[in-house]
Amino acid sequence: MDHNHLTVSLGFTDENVPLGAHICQIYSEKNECIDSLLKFLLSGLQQGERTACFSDKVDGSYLSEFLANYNIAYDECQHNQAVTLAGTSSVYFQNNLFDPDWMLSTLTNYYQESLNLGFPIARLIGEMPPEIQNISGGNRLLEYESRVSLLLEDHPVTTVCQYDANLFDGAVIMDILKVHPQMIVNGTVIYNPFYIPPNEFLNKV
Amino acid sequence: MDTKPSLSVETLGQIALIQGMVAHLPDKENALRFVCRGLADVPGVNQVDYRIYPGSADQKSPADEPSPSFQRISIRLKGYDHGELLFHLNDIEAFSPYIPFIANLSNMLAVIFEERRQRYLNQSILENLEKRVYDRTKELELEIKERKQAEEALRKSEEGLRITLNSIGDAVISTDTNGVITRMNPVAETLTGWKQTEALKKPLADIFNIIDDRTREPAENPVVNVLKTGKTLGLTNHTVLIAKDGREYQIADSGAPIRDAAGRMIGVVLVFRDVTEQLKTEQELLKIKKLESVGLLAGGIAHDFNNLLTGLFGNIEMAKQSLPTGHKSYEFLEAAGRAMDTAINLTKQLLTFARGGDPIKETLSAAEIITDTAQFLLRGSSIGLQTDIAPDLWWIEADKGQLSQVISNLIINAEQAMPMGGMITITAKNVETSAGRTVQITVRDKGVGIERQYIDKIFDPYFTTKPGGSGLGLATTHAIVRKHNGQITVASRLNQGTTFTISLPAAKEAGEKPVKDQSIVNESAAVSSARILVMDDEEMVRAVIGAMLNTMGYDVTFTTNGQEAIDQYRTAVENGHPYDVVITDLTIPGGMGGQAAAIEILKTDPHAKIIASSGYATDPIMANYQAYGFKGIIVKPYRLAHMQKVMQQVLEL
Repeated sequence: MDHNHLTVSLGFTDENVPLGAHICQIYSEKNECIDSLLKFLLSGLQQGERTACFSDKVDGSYLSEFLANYNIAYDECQHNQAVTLAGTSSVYFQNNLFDPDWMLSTLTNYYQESLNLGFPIARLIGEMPPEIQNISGGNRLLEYESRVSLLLEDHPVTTVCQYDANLFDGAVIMDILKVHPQMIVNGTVIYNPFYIPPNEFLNKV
Repeated sequence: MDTKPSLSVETLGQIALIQGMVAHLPDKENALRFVCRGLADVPGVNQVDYRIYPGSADQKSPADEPSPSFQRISIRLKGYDHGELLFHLNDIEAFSPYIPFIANLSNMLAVIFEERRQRYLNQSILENLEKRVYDRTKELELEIKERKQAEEALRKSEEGLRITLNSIGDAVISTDTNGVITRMNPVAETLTGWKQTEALKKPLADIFNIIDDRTREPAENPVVNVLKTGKTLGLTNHTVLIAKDGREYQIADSGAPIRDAAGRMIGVVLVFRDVTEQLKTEQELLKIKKLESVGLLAGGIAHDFNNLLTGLFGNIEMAKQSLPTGHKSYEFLEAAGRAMDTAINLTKQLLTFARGGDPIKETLSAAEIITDTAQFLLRGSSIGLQTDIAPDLWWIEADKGQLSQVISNLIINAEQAMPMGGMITITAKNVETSAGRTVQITVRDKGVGIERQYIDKIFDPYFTTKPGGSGLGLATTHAIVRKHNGQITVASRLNQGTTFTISLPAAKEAGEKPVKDQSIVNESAAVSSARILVMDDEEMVRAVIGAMLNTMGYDVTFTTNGQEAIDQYRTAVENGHPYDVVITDLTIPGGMGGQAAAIEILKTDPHAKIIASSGYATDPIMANYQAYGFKGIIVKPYRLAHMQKVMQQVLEL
């Protein structure tokens, strides 16, 4: 499949985005985060995509209740592995350590598995835990995000990274913008003028 | 040709992105760090710092002044400085084109920060207001709770005060400093005749109507005095309270100031009580004390007088005994005897009243006593007598002499009430009620009557409306009737007459028909040779009793006091010649009397036959002689026939 020209709907913005887009969402309200997350998953499921969510704000029952409004059976989706739900710590931190390599391999495996399961495409939305600013390996966050952009070029999983503006330092947020090609500003996807392409960014790091 | 540096679209895009994003960063510091990091890529910029106000805006160092390597852009809105962005430059010319865009950004920052500040202030004000409302609400709740507690405490205190006042046996009235009533307790309501609800807010004088009992003039208002002096005061004696319905009460009372915690007088409390009964009791006690004095005097006189009477009467009896019936001197002796009877009755009257002694009762018919007494008293009088005595009149338990005294007193009063003559009507009938059987005797006259104001006093000792009267006659009558468990009442109308009504309990059984007292000794009576021991301190009495006993054939030994009698009796017992009968006078002034002597004699000889002799017919020993070990009694002055009878009875025991 030629993914280069495919676009997908995020579910919570007006515009479609290219398949495999790497998007940063800076939010300041918890409801904004949850709303985006649920609509993102719904949109994916409705389009037959495999979806994954790394979040501490939504659990299975919450998602099940939401999806039921749209006649989507959460249990069935789970059974079919159409939806994966996990907490942030269990995904991002292994043995109290943030390991970008491990994260990237997880992402790679997720993409491969999606294909193997017969899903044409996949999407993922993850809430970055603010503890990453203090945990061992957390200083490689920008490196990780930049390498994600690189990975998604060959493993097109439409990815949305959610950051809480209340819990992340302003300067860190600006740095995060620099490693995300797109970002969502006031509900609109824009191309990030601060974006530094991975090749350039990773050379600087 | 100089060319101005061009604006980079990318840089402008970054600035625009910063503008779009900065509102999402809620914290001011965080937002400025975000901005500074983002603006660090603007051409010509080495480094971007920020300063947040209010801070050291007035303390600008020379280094803060703009220069080619340093630019400051304020974040200010409507004169309020939120802070500034500090640009450390390496190329002012490359930087300068972006200044307007950065300034625009800083204006937007100012708007965002100001909006947040206002929101914070409003929030703070709101929170502060809410807190103040909350605190004030709590204060008010506490105040309300405390007020309710205070009100409850006050209510309980008021209730306690009301209960206390209502429980006090005395009357309590409180007034304010104007003498207006503020409170009354139930006793005060009863005495004044005013309900508290009627009396509240009225001046005390309207409710508390007091007069001087002696002058009947209004008495001084106690509240006025207390208010004037500020001291506790008592009303003078002889204060009478006139109730609303006109009833009068003798009262004793005091008034005192009511003071608040600061010592200021805020009212007056008046406490008073009805002492009418108390005064009456005190007066009664005073009368009793007077009577006791009289009794003492009478007792002393009566003893001597009775002994004199015994001598007189006894000799008259003996003289009559020695004369034949038809002897011309006999009638003079009879007249002397009758005069003696009157003297004896008068003495008895005095003694009865003064000593209040118990009647010596016997079962008798009142009919004969009434008839005999009335006929005797009215013989030769201008007053007519009408009797209506029931033929089946019940017998009564009474002291013959005292009953005769009663009838005499009432007849004498009736006679005196009709100085121009008239009719006395005496009735006697049986009356049966639920209380029992009584004999009702009425003595009615059609004389001057008794004034209404005196009706309640006529039975009081020493009360009399007759000049020269002793005031003892009706008092004695009342005392005798009461001693007989009877009642006496009076009904009278001025100038229409008076009726006295006596009710005496009927005897359970009929008695024997009275035998006429024989002043002549029955010569057929057996003469005994018994030995008699007589104890009396009066020679005259010993002579009379000795003569009487000798007439009866007895052998008489005399002693003058109790100890002598005891010694004589013991000696006789030891000698084997005990006395058959002992006659002892009960009263031996300055020596052992008959009762004490009898006790000792009975110790020596429990079978001794002792007769008590006394002029006090109403003495408790005489009334109940057997309980004191005596076998009989004889009353002075002695009557020969009675003496003979008693001696025979005792000797035959």
